[in-house]
Amino acid sequence: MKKISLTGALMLVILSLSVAQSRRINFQAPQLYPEGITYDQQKKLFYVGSVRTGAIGSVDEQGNYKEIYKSNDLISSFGMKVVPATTRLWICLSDQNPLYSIYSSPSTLKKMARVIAIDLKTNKKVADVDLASLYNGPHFLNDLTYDTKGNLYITDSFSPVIYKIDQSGKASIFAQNELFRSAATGLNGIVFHPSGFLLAVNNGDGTILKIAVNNPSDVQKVAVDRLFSGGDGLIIDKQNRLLIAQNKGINKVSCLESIDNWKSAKVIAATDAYARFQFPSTIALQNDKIWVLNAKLDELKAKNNPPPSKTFFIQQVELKAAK
Amino acid sequence: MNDSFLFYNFFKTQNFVFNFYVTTVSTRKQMNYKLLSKAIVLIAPLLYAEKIVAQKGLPPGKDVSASVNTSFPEHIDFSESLLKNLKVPQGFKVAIAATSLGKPRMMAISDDGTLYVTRRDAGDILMLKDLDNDGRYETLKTAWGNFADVHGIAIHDGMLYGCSSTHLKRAKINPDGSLTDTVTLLKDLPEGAQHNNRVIAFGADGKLYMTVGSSCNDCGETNPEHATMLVMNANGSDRRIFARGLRNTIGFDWQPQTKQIWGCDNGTDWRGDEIPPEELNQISEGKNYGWPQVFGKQQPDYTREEPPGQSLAEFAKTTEPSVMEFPAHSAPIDFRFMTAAKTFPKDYQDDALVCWHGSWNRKNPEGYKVQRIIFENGRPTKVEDFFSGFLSADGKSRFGRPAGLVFAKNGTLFISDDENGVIYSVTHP
Repeated sequence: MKKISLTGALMLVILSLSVAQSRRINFQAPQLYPEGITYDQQKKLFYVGSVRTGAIGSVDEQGNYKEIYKSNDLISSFGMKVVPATTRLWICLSDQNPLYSIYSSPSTLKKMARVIAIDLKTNKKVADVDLASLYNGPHFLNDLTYDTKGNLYITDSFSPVIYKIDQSGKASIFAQNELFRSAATGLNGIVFHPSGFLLAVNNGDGTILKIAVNNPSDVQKVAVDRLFSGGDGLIIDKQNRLLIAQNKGINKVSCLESIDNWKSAKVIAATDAYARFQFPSTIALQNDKIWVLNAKLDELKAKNNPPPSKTFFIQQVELKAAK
Repeated sequence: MNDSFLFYNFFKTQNFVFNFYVTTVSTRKQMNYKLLSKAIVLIAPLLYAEKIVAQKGLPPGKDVSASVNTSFPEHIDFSESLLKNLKVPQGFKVAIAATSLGKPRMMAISDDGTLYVTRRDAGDILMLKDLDNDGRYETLKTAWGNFADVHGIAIHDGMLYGCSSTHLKRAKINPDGSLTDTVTLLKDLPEGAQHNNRVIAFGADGKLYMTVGSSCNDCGETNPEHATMLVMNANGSDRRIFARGLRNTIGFDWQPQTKQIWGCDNGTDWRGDEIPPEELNQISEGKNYGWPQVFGKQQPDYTREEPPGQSLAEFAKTTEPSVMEFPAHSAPIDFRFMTAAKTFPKDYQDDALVCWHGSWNRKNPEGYKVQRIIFENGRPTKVEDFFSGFLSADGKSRFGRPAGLVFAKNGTLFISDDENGVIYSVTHP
């Protein structure tokens, strides 16, 4: 009898291992298709956007979604961050793909490039910066980050530039470099490293780039033994490791470590296929927990087949040591 | 007149075996059928001119019972340590050429070694370069983005052609490998449906040949271009059906000695572990290869009703038989003759390679490897493993599924794995 019980228990363990999947926060938000996520340590809420309407909403740990700001002119919202010591949530807005937004139009498609700030005390828009005129080219503001002084750095996936919005709200081109360019989606996720440089990923060629904040013309490829095609959201964790989400069929989050100040880096861990991510786009850090947003944008590209989703999910990232 | 229908009685057992019955029964709607028959007689010529319609003849006259299995070997994530599991014939060497590509499918390579790879799921074409000539592609660029569903790819006269289910496009290849001057040549190809895997290649006649899979596992198609090979001018004009009754022939190529077209066809699912076999066909203009009523060497599929006006057995004799058969459900994807395998032994160069993507619709897994089909005097004589080892010895796990094949000018063979996003190279040093 004991032997049978043990066998049964063992089988259960094997079964649970074979279907193991990390924790998910499911939230109901029909046709939201959120691409950007960030976590507000003070309010203990995730914020997510929407490529479908641009609307901004919050999600709590129980999976309650609440819209906090919307306007028909947002088109699609992408990367977002709450700047610490402020109550401002900064958000990238663009019209990337006519299959995405219900508000997409020829007048904004690949032309719109706005960054807005929502004050999280009032949920009112308190800043709206138009970057489109700074660079003559198509635009897709995809992600943003901030440095220790509160300056913002914004990637444009359709033009080879990084913009800067300083503390006073003044916008400029911070860096321009051919390494940012792609025939499709170029520079995507961007993070500020506490040692004083930016790391960004080129979605089209899979390279990770290091950009010196005090010398933006100094752009170096971080030497890694692989490329990160489809590289999307980035984040630096508390150990100063870089986390990178990849979609476009790769659907993985990898963790990189560097011992030479990001001249080179090594993948030390990654998720595996059994995470069952669906177009993981951007990453949020909640203390020691890492979460990734599953944007499901593949559904929009498939022209409503399968039917549009009503539920989306934020999934905890469980890394497995690289073999 | 009898009505007929399929009665599926699935009951799940512990080892995921399903039972499946097909039967025919009589019904009482004779009057309705008489009226319908008259209508069909009147409109049939029009329909025939327009398309191959789903007309139904008499019941097949035989009942079929089959035991149907599904068996999916467990997925194993890629790691470089798995390379040692891969086997190639003595004298050949296998190496990793690129990793982390997602779901790479078909490939084309330019004379300077630039490799173009389609990713149907991502909807793009990647461009890979091996700048230091060490056999590993260290740079990658998205050469063509926002090309939804792109699968087939070919290079012809300095242009790169890409094909999705519905669209044929081409672009100019610049000296640095980048693509510009993109043009949409066709946008009215049949919907991809179950088989969104168009493949294109240019013949010595300069024409563009394209395989178009069926829309379904087993049905009467309503679009005559489904389940065919098409031929057209390089700009997409003068498109016509070259051959029919090909359920899902993906890769195809011209045998170097005879210049005949050969390709492997994916047989119908849900007929049992051994039925129907995967087929190697010699594809000729105007021929019908039988699907959905006939498989293999003119074998009637008695789960189907007769075609109008003749019995299944009579109709089967009018179709082209397969030339060689392989285990059912092995799933052939790309198929190429080794014409360009300049560094391979000479006796390989008239032979073909076929990627078996691997089965799910049979108890004992088959495929998950690349095989060499040996040709003698222009005809296939035997088959042997060329690149294998993705499937574990007990058949319970896999770490790859071969999809695309391409030879570089220097004779290196590249094989794409669309399960773990790896491209392997095979050389004969």
